[in-house]
Amino acid sequence: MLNSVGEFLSGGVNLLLCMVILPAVCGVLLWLFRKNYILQAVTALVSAAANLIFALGILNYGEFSASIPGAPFGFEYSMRVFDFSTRFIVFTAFVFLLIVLYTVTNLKGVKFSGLYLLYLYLSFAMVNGAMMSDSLGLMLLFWEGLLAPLFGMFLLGNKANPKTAFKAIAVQGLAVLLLMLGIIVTAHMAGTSNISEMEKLPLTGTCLLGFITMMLGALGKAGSMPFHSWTVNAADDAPTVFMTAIPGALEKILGIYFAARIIGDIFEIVPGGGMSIAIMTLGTITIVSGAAMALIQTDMKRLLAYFAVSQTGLMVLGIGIGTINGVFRGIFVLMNYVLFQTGLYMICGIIEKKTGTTDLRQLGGLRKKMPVTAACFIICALSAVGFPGLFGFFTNEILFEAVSESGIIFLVGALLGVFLNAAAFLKMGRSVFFGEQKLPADSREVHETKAVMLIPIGILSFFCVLFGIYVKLPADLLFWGDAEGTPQPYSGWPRLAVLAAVSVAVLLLAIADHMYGMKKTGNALHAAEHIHKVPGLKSIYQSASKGWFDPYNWLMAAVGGFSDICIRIEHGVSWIYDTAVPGLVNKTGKVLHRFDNGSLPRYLSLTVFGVVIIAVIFLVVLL
Amino acid sequence: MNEWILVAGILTPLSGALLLPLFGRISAKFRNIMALIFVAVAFLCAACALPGVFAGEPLSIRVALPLGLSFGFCGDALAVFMAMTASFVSFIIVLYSLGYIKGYENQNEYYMMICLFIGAMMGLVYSTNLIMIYTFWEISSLCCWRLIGFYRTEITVQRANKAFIVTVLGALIMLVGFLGIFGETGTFELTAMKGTHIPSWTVVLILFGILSKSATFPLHSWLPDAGVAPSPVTSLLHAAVLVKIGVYAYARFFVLTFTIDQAFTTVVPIIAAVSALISAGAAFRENDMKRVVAYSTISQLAFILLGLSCGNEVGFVGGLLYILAHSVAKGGLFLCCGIVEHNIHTKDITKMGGLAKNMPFTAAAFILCAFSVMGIPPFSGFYAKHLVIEGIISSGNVGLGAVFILGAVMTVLYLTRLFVKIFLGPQTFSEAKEGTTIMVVSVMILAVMSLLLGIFMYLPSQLASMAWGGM
Repeated sequence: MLNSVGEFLSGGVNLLLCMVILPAVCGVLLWLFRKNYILQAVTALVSAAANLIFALGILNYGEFSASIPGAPFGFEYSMRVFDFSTRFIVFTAFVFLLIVLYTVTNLKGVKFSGLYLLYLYLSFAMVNGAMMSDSLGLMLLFWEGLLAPLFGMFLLGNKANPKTAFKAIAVQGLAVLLLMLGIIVTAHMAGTSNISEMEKLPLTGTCLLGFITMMLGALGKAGSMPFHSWTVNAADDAPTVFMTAIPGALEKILGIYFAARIIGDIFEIVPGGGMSIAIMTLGTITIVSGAAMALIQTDMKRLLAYFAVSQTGLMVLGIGIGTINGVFRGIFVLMNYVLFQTGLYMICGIIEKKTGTTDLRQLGGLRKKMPVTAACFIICALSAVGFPGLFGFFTNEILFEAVSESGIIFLVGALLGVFLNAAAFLKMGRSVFFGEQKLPADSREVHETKAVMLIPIGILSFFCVLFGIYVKLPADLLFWGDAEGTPQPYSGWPRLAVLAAVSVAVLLLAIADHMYGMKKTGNALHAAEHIHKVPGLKSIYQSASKGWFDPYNWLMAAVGGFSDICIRIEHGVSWIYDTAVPGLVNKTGKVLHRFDNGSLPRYLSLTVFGVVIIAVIFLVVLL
Repeated sequence: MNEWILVAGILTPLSGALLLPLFGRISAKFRNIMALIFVAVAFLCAACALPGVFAGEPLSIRVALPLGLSFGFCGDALAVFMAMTASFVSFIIVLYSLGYIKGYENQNEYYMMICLFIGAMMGLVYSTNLIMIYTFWEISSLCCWRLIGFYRTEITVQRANKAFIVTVLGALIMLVGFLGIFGETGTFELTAMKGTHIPSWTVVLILFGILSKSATFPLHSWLPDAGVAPSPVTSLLHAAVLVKIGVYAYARFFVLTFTIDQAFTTVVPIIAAVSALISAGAAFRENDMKRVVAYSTISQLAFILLGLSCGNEVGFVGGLLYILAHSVAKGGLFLCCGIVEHNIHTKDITKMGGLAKNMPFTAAAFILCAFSVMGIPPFSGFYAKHLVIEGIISSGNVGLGAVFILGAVMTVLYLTRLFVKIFLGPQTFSEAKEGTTIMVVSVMILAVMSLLLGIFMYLPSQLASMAWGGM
């Protein structure tokens, strides 16, 4: 059956119709069905399931291309699915199905559910389209098209406080337009906009500009520094379903997918070269700063948002190695990330729904009230920090192996990130699920959520465990064949036992640090205070809290300063038109008026003077 | 016989304009309907010229005059593209005016000037003779002067005078350039001068006219000031038609007719870049919503000029498509501003907020049009902006491409800021209501058109590509 589906999709415009237009149309239907919850939920789930079947059909059928008619002048609508992209499409479709299941149960009775689902499906259609595009122009169309639903989602139920929406559009807009520049430059240098027709470009001259701007665009979508801060603000203002779906999963997948293709298919990056080092440095900074900020948060959503930033750093680190192996290791991290982070955001949403808050200061002791949720949290969190036996352990280890060959400083940075992240998770987990219940007496009747909401987090947790026990499964799914250009087959167990031991030691150190903090403060929430108050770090944290390290603030300051200069120039020009020129005309008029006194000799003198001037002009012209 | 369709497309709004005050004395409703019909005829005539363009036999007419003089009209791809764009947007604006302008004095003159203006625009785009182009150019300046000063207050008259003086002065300098070309070639007929190399000093003089009309820095100052006019007027003059005359003239003269020194393919894009950035910066600081949109127009016109001047097909097609995309979307933005101003009687965005609750349709239309101007796909502005930047990069000016990307970033910022300040945040005017049905329908048509044009960009891009092929 899957083969028939694949065969059908490979014909004409069917790929576009089923994978892009169909989700978009379903989005419109979901909006129309907003008053009938059952119909809406069934449609949402059926369409997400159908999309997964389509994706599996493509995987089963194999590589093919499709050319879409109706492209305007200068554009080519060519699509191509092949091993690499298909695996991403299937993985995204699977995660999307879980997200939809969680979303429809979470949005029951919510006023804006129809619009939210419309935007979600439109976003999903765009992500699918971008991943299937062979033409960079078409990919940009889908990529940039994500901005509109993103803006719409932010405004749902949040029109009175549009600051984060503005910030998201500003940051994403910048990243997208940089990508546009990169794509145009790259297509110009390559002589084609189709990735499959490109020969790898060297990282020199104009090509280097293309690479940097494209990479910034891709990393901006993935939420890496310096484009990360809007996701943290979104944690404050946007609903958890949004965090789960967009910055948590879809945008991250798309950003990393494209970053991998930039390095794997478009540019010839030299491992250990300048650009490789630059990307790895960016990755390391992202890991450490994201984790450091996660450590001091007192809100679950914000903590998870910073943690997501830190994890993006790990992926960037892998991709920055510049080899096909490095790229795949980065993607392996992404795979783990999407599983546990989607699970964690969903858990966060459940807690928010049940208790009305995600503030760690108000939560506690939920382990007994919500045992299944707590168990899923522990699994996802352990996988997140790379606890042995879980999927995260292996994804971290194979990444660290590759990183250790590129430079010890990057490995140290990554391990520091692991330490800080583990400390942050210990603080969060213990504050929420252990200790005493702190909720107000009238809202203490908290109990486990509905089974239907537990299904997606259960599945995600299950995969964190399954892939930990049987790591060959995701490895085989991701690392296929042994043809040239594909990565080395993964053995299923860390090759470097010493490195694995160091990682475990770092985790143990984090636990010890947490215990020390607990002993010192008597409180899980404040267990990381001693790190926060380390001389030197304290002032850095204070500066960070004031937004001094937020690149968005730098951008806005630069734009503000530039605009001030522009408005002064503008006033200057207006002054010339409104004051200087009329003033000059008036004064000239007044001067000339003095000659107009009725005196015949004066008129005659002026006439003679005028004739002389005209004669001089003629003479000059003739000679 | 078919050639007379072009003449009908010009004369119907031109002569009809003169009849409108008469119709107004009979019935205001009759006058309004006739104004709509005259503009619709202009659009239909342009549409009727389309088959000829696609068949490779554009409609053309030439009338000989005494003393060896002549005038002619030609409906080639560029002319038809411009005529259809201008007349379609104008039709929507006239439709919107029916709701906006009722209740004001001088309506007879208003509709007369609007129709006269559209007739002049049609005449200008079809004309193949420099003197005829100049004549229609000046008629448009005259209409612009009366329409900006529509309210007859001291400030509006001052601003109208400013616009008139700057554009007419620019046109006069351009006329000297035309005379210079006549001195070189002995003719005013564009068709007879195809491929002729013209001296740089005539190019500079003509550029004065073009840049003053298309409000390019530093000859742009009249455009933000003209925001004192009624919103349909600002929309018509400053987004849909008037400012597009300048860029049309650039395409007609310096791309499709004359050959000019290579230096201009560097100098003009640099002027455009300066104009794009300074006006975008000013738009970000401005608090008067119509001035923000006007500065945005200056900035976006620079994108159009960039596309047309970069010397290759991609940029040229991008520039033309941007004329279309910008006319539709910016027309919509101005009209949305009109609905807001009409309701709350202020243009100061610092006093506004939360109006999306009171005016959901206007807010939706505004953001859709803004998306198009920002260049977000699948709106029409995306394709046009992409092609313009591709054009400049293809010509080897990667640095200028990067500068215009900065301009595009600024566009995203100031338009989002404008939307946020007007429609989001805490509600300030709880009594405000949605605009009248006809006004809301008008802006929604433009918003939906911005989207549809993007989805079906294939069609206008074919026409724009043919315009380049007509060289």
